[in-house]
Amino acid sequence: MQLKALTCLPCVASQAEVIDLGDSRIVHLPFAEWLVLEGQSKSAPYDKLDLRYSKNPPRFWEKTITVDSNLVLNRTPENVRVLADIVEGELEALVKALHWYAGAAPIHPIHSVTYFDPRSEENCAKYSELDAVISEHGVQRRYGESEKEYATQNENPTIALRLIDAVPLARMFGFTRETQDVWKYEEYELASQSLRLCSTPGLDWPSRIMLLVSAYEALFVPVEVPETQKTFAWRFACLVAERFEELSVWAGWLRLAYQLRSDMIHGRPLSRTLKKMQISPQEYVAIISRLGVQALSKLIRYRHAHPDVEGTSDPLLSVLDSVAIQTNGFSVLQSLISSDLAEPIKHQWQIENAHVDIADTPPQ
Amino acid sequence: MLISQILRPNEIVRFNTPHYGLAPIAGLQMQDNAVVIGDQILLRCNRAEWETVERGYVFKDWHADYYNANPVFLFKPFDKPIAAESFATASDDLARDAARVVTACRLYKTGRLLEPIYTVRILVTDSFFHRVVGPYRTEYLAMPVDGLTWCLEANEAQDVGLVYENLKIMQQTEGTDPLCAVIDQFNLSHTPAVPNYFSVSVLLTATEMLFDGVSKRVALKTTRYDRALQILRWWIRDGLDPAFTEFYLNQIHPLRNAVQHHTLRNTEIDLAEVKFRLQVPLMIGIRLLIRLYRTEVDASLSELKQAHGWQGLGPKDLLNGCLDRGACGDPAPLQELMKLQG
Repeated sequence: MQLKALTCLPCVASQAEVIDLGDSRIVHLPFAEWLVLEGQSKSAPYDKLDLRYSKNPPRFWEKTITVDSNLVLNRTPENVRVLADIVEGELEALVKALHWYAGAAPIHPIHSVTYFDPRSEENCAKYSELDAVISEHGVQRRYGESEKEYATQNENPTIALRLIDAVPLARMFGFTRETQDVWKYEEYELASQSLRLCSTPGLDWPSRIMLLVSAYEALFVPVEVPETQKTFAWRFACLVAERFEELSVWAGWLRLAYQLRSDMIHGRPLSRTLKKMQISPQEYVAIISRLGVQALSKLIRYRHAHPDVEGTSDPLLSVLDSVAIQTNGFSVLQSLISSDLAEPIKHQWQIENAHVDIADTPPQ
Repeated sequence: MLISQILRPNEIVRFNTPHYGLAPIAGLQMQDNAVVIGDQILLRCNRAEWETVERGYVFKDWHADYYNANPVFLFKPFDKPIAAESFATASDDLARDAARVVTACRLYKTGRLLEPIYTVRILVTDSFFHRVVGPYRTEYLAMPVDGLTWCLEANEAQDVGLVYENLKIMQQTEGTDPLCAVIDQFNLSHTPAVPNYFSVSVLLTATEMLFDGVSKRVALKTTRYDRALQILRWWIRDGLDPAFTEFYLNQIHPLRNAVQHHTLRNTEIDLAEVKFRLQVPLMIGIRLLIRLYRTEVDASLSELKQAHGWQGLGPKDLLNGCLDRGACGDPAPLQELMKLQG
C-alpha cells in the first residue's frame, strides 16, 4: 500500500507553496486538510485554530512510501512506530540538510508530529472502511513532546526559505543522503551535535564558543602539536576559504575563537580578547557557526570521496599545513577536497541576494 | 463553568492580579502549594489555574491526568498591564529567572529538571495570553508522570534559596564569564535528547575548565582528576562511595582517551553512570567557586593567600591550590574554605 508520510517541520517558513526535493517535497497543507488528518473536521474548538494556522502556515515534509497494508489497517501504537522508523533515516538527512543549508539547526521534527495518510482512490477502493475510519479518528500519527503545537502555528520561524533556495536546498538534501554513512561517524557526529546545540535557545555566546572550538579542535588537531592555536586556526581557515587571499582573514577570526576558549579554560576575564572583536560576540558566534558548517560539509565531502583513507595514511592534514609554505599549496588542497559531485553544494548565505530576513517571508 | 470546577468545586484561580507570567519547571515536585526561592515564587498550580492559561492549546488528553503530573510553575505577578512591546523582554526574564532556579536545584542535588525555555512560557495580561513555546512543549506534564523528577523537600527550600542568591550575585558580577561558561556546560549535560557520549564529552570539558588551567604560581603537584577526587573526599568525607575513587583513579584516563579518539560510543561503559560521577565534583566545585567570587569572601581569604604566596590570584586558582594541598596531606587551606560553605 502506498501512503504519504507528512512530517511537520517546526519553525520553517517558505515563500513557495511547494519545494521539490526530488522524491519528496516540502508542502503547505490547507487547514481543512490538516483537520482531516487529525479527524477533527467537525470540531468547533479545532475550527478556532484556523486563523492562527492560516496566518502563518506550517510546512510539512511529504514523502510517499510503500508499506505493508497491515501496518495501516491495524491501528496499533507498535505499527505507528514501525511507520515512523521507515522515514526516520531520511528525516535525519533532511534535518541535517536544513541545518547545513540555512546555518541554523531546526527544531527536530521528532518533537512535532508525523501523519501517515493512506487516502487515495486506489486505497479507498480496495479498503472500503478506510474513509470512515479516517473521518472519525484521523490518520495514524506519531506525536513528539510538542504534540500539535508546531502544526498549528508558525509565528516565529527560525528558518526562512526563499524561492531561490529550492534548488540548492534539494542539492544539499541529496548530499546529506548520499553521505549519511560518513556523518554518522562519532568524530563528525560530535562536531555536528555541537553545531546543533549552538542553536539551543538560552545558550550564551561563551558556551557556544566552547562547544565549537572543542569540537573542531578534535577534528583539526587530533594529535597534540606545537603551536596548537595557530595550527587549529590555519587548518580550519584552509577548509573554509574559497580563495587563497581569504586565508589570513579567516585564520585571524578563528585564532580569536581559540583564544576565547583558552581564556575560559584558564578562568581569565574575556574583556581583553573581546576588544579585538570588531562586531558583537553574538554576531561573531553566528559567523563562526556558519564557518563550522562550511568546514564540516567539506570534510564530509572529502571523506565520502576517499573512503579508504584513514588515520596516519590520510594526507589531508599535511596538505592543509603545506598551504602556507608551498606556492601551489592552496590549489593542491582544492583538488584533494573536491569530489565527484556534479555541482558543488552551496549554503544559503552564499546564494545571490543572500540577505534573508524572516520578515521577508510573507504570511499567506 | 470550567471542567475542573465541576470535578473539584472548591478550586478557583487564586491569582490576585490579572497580569502575571507562568513558566513550568518540568520535573520539579513539591508538597507545599507555594515556596519562595530567593526572590522567585514557585507555585503548584491547581487545575483551574492551569486550564485558564493553557485553554488556547488543545490539551484534552492531559485534563484527566493533571493531578498525576502536579506541575510546579515559576509565578511572576505584575502590578500593571504588560505592554505588547514588552512581551519579549518579559518572556526572556521568565526564562532567565527559571533557569537560575533550575541551576540552583541542580547544584544542590541530582535529579531531572528541564528549563521552561524548552517547554513553554505564558504571559497573561487582562485575559490576553501570550505564549512562547519550545520543542519539549508538554514535558512539564509528562516528566512527573514518567518519574523523571526533582523533589523539593520542605526543609531544603532555604538551602536551595542560598545557592540561588549566590548564583544571582555571581551572574551580576563582572569578570565571571568563565564560571558562567562552566555552569552552562554543566547545564548542557542535562539537556534532553543529547546522547550520553556527548554529555560525557561536555562534562569532561567542564571538568577541565574547573580543575585545570591553573596559574603556575600555585605550584600544583596533583592532576585535575586528583583534585576532582579531593573535592569529593573533602565535601562528602566518610560517606564517599568507593566507586568514585575507583573512577577517578583508574577509569577516567581511558575514558578521556576514548573521547579524544572518538571511540566512546563503541564502549560498553555505562555512560549514564559516568555522567553522574562527573557531575558531582562539578556541583561541589561550582558552588564553592560561586562563593569565592564574592568580593567580601575574597577579602576574608587574604591571610590564606598570603601564607601560600597566592596574592592576586583568582578564585579558581585559590580553589585548586587548596585542593592540591589537601590531596598532598595538608588539610589547613581547605579548612579555611570550609568556613565559606553555602
